[in-house]
Amino acid sequence: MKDRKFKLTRRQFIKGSAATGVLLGAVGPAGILRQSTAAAGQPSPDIKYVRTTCSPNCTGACGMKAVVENGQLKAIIQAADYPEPEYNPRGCLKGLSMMNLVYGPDRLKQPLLRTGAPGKGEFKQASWNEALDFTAKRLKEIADKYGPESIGVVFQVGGTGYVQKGAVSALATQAGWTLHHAYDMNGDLPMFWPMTFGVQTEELEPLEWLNSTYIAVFGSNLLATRLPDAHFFVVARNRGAKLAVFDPNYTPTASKADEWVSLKPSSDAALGLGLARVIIEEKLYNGPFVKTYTDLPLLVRTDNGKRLKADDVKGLAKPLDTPAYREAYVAFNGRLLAVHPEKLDLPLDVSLEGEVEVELKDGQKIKAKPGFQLLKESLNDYAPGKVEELTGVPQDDVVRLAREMASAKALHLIYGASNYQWYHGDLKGRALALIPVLTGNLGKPGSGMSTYAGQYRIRMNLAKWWAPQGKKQNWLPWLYVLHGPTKQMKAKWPKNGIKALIVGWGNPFEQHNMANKLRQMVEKGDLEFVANLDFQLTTSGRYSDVVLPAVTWYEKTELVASPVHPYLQLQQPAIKPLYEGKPELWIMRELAKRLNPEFEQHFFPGLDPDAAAEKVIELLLKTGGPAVEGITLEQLRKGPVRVKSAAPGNRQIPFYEQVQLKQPFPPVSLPAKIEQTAQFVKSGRIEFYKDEDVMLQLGEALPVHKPPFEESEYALNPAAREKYPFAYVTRNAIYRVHSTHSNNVWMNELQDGKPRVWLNPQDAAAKGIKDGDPVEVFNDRGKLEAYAVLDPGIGRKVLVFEQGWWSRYLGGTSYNSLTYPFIKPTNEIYFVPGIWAPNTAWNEALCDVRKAGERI
Amino acid sequence: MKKSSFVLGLGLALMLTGLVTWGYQIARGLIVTNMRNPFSWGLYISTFAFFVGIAAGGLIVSSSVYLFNLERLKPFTRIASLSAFASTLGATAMILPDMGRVDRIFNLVLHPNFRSPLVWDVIVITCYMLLTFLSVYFQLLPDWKRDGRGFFRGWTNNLSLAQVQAISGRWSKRVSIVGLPFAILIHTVTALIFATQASRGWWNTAILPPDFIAMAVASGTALVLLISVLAVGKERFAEYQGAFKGMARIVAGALVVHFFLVAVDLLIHWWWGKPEGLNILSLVFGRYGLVYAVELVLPAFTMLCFFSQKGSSSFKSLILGSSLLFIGVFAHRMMLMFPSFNEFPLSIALPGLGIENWPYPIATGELKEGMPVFVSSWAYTPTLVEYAIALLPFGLVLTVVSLALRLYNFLPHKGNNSLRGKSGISYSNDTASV
Amino acid sequence: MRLGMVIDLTRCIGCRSCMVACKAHNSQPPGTWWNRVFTPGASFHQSAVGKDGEFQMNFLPVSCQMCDNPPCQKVCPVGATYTDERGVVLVDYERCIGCRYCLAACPYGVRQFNWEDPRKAKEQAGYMKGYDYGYPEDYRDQGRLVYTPDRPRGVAEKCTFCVQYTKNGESPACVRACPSKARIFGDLDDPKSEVSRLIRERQTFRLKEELGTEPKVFYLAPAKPVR
Repeated sequence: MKDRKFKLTRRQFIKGSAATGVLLGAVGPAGILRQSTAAAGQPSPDIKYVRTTCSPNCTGACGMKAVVENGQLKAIIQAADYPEPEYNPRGCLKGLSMMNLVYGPDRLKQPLLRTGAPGKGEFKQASWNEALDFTAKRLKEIADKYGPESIGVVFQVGGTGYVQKGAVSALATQAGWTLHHAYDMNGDLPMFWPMTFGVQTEELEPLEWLNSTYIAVFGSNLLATRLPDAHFFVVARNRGAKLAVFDPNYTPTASKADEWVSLKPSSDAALGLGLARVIIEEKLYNGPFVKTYTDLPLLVRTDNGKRLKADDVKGLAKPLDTPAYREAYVAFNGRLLAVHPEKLDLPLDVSLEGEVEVELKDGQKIKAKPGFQLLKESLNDYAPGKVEELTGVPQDDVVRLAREMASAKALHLIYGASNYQWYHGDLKGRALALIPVLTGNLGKPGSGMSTYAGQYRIRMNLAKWWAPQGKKQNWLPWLYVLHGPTKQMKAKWPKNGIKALIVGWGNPFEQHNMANKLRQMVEKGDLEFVANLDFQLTTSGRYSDVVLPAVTWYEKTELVASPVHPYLQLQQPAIKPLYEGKPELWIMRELAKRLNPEFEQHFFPGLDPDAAAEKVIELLLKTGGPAVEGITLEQLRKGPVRVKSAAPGNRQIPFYEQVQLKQPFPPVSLPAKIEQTAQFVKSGRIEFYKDEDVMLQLGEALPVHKPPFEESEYALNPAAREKYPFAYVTRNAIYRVHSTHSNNVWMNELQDGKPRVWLNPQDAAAKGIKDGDPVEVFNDRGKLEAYAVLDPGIGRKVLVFEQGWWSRYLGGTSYNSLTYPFIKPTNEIYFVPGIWAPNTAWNEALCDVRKAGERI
Repeated sequence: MKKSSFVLGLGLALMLTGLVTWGYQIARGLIVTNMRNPFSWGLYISTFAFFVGIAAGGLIVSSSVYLFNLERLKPFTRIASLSAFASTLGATAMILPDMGRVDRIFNLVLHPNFRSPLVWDVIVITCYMLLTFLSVYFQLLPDWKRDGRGFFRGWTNNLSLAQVQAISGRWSKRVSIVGLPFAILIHTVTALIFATQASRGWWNTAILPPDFIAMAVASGTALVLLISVLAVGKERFAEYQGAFKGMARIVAGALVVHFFLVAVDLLIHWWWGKPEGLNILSLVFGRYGLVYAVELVLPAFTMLCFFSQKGSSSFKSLILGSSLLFIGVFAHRMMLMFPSFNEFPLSIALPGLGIENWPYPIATGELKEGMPVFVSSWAYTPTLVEYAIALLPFGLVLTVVSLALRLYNFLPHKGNNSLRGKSGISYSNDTASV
Repeated sequence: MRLGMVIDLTRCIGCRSCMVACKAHNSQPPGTWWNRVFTPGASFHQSAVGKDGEFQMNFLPVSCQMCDNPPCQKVCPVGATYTDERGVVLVDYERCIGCRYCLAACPYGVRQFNWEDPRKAKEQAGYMKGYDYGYPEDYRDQGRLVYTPDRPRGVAEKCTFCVQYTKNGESPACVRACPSKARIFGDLDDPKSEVSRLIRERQTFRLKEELGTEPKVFYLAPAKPVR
């Protein structure tokens, strides 16, 4: 496809030059120049431009224009064709250098069968038939021996490609294999969302940042992790918004803020609760909002800590139309009221404070308090002085910041993944959520709370393609594969465990929790078979029995919609698949044919992979539901199309329907059904009080601050308290999308080809480490070799590693060998795949550091 | 004979080594040097500047004879001119391997940019080469006439020997007089290549051209002195002691000027004390202190030695003093590069943070395992290839000089003979005894 | 016409996308970067500068400053470096003799030299046989080769304001690639252009202004609103 805008520009330019013979001056937002004399410099007709979408696992989904000549991808530039000029040009350094991976030395050329020991990289080349026959044979054997559910499938996240990933999901569903959801596997699932709002996750689209008057960022490095959207942060400030960044480390994001608040690692809950306390004490909260949308007016029994059910109270009853997955609770405004869980219509004179005596139907008299009262009481532990002690933030600042935030017209709070990927990430999120909710900053432009991590969200109904004939899917959170089953787990553990893996779009032998453990599982034979689909030979490929060469997103047809970017976009092949690479849909179809000829019917047999992919896209658009209603393939071919929403201008404003249209919480989180997620917030409201038994047992009914490591590392090994004084934090760098681009030659030029560990110069001095020294970061589980960056902006006793480096740059070990698959019981109260599930806590890891070679 | 054959053989061997290695460099590119984007001139340009420096002496000596009536130097005008010509050849030969595209050298003629000091240098060096050649030529012409050999002498066929001698005398003088400003110019212009560059604090000083001239007078004269002393040998040393002493005093005097200029330059850098200047000084006295010590101490020794009665009149001390001076001058040429390239012109000051001179990193131009692409300084040390190629001009100079000495008569003769010149010094054609 | 650029350092997020776009679209061999973005004062890009809890981290993109008084052009002995009629300083890859005087003369360290055969350097990086990246067509300005994806060995090169694009009326790759729109490109002679307006209305600075090189790249200093 030749780019429309480009061509038009040129035609105008030729016309202009013929007519006037002088330059016409700068036109358009990017200052496009037209110049007359250089007719010789017209682009050659041999060069074509293809509009496609860059979609590694970064949520960017940036529209790109491929410069193609002679069947080769020569360069990439942003398409810059979004209707809102603020979104243009969307892209980053990784996407712009994708040629290095497409044509790079690690590119897979043909199917490979492993001949040597796992990880050694010894393979023999095979034909597609040979490789597919072998794969099908092994999968059948394992399914026969251990049951099909013992075959685990890792296919990362749907939004980066509904068609090709759907093909993997579809075959896994047909064959009864077990799927591992990427959202919790990647540690990106912020558990406070389902706990508090009943949703998987919601995010304000970045264009809306421009409507914020106050942006409070808690531990998110937007300038590194959200490159295509980072400018909104700066522009918001230019337009007068206040930006405050709360982070132990001085990050690029902090450098752009009005205020950087340095706090102790993982003490955000204490600060959030401290801010909430000031807001409540000084009555800065939005009473009507709290009464209408939250559970805080609902009464909680003081005898057992459970929320008071209308059905239990004498004279009250659950409304008849209450769905089974909801519960009607009780509020008090002089008299007891049964609160309808699907109507946000409590009278505004309802009590938030105090205590009432309630007579139950069984005649028992109990005392009950509104959640707000309990919250207020619990916040007594977070007086500004105490908060200063816990967080290191001066108490005067705590009070000032609380007042500032409460008075903001549109407050947006961003809670970063690096911050919630801790054992108590749920508590921190629940505490921080108090601030926008108490102040009524939700469901309106520029307001709310966002997390911005993970390509988790499914934008439309995918069932027709992803789950053939509505067949039930088996899901198992990844942590259990590493950790083993737990007593209280709600997910179903396959009776023989996971014995084989099919890995696509991911690199778990590098990138996942305890990657070394996964490697050992292959080495010991616990994992009997691993198949890998990828376009390059990764570490995971090296541990696989069969490696099937897939293609990059410049070589196939795909449909993309990411959570953060509100556009539906196509990937259109710019070049033919290189070498013997094939789109995943084709690979799955071939595999399906070999497993069970009936399966193949689902995959549009007979059509070439691109034609089949187009059929799938048409099917998805037709059956996708309201978000994509009316959108056609033809429209998408022309450019990006905004996904529909209830908010004006189809803006992505979370909880718009709840707040503006008074629909009950939660909104649907696809692909889950409402009954699956509504059970998380049975009251139909934002819930700060959680009365599930586990929450009560752990003392987490209300958000509290719990210091890191106490229930994780120290519980696992009390000696760690003395032995490993450093927190091991793995953050994202601008040079990689997780482990993708780790081998991108230009990215490595930009970093001198050296993985780095960042630490505070004072900590370094104590260890005798100088800037640039090779160091070893270690704990009982593993080690990491890297080079020291002495950064005075890094907090004390923290080692920050920029994640994603392949082992081959790290002396053969994975930087994830230091982590541990901690499972917090609160994550196991319910199980809905990728929505309420045990979540990887990458940063809940302790370590020590020494100069390389100083091993004792 | 044996000695001269050895020198010729050595010269040819060095030249061959240089040429072969240059061939290798042409095949692989300048990547075989240790020069990179942040440090883009190295041993080659230093060696070039070194040869330009010593090339001056020849014409300065012979011109002085005519201009200042320094009669006692007269016996050495031929050898002086020869050394100048050879050094100019050497300088020219050195510049060629430094060029990334020596195959396009004709562009200098086709598309000269007269604003470039490099083009000025090409012009003055070419002129100087021509003049030194003519100087040699006219001085040898009477010999050739007499012996019926040599080249470009057809036009003298109809002239008598006496006429040729007259023409030789007249034109030698003319060439010397015209040559002197060119001798000054090649240093001025070579210095201007550097001194014009406001981006490089170490270079950008009006003191550089006079200092180059001072250094050239010192080192050029020292070269003539060295060759002369060696040529006359120990046994006849006393005969020319006066001339040698005169030359030694010229060397020492020029060095006084040089040290004066250097001192003023350093003082100015230090006194104003801007961060770039101070950083240069810290490079000069710190990181490159050793090279700089060589640059300072050896010529200082030569200067003192040549001022002293004993030092300026002993055979050994003249040889030692001159040789040490060359090493010092070479160090000076290297020190043109080290501090200059390692004080990146684009250095950033961050007021309020105590950062005065943060060098903005430069890409080296090479991707190599384990090496950073972006650097804030470049620890340049020439590679073996560079050293080998830098032998080329040395080989060329040795070859030309020894060949010339072998073929023609450049040295003052012991006794009187028919070819007695005005000064009473004569030349013989039996160079075989040398 | 005098093409120039304004770089808004407040908007620059230090992401280096412009470096990469520049490298890709201009087919720069491994080790060669026409365009750089660093954090002045930091030993590593994007680490904090300062102490005792008071830090800053500003990013400074530097490519050819397109001087109106360009030392690189003045020193070039063969006129391989010249300024075209739009004020863009260009290198004629067919005329350069590789003397590297321009590398010594440039105060900004933007000049890059082809120390080795770029094709070989690319091969060593392991690309598919026969593959080369970058805008694929040569561009000649009045017969002079000022862009080619396949640069000769032994010549100097630098930013051309993407002559292959700007001659067609497109903006340079770095401008189009900047997700933060920190770079504004246009005609300094046109008072209506955005660059002219910004230079007129905002406080700008140029690098090493004291040298009098008269760069046509202007910077808007990084700023934070005072509150």
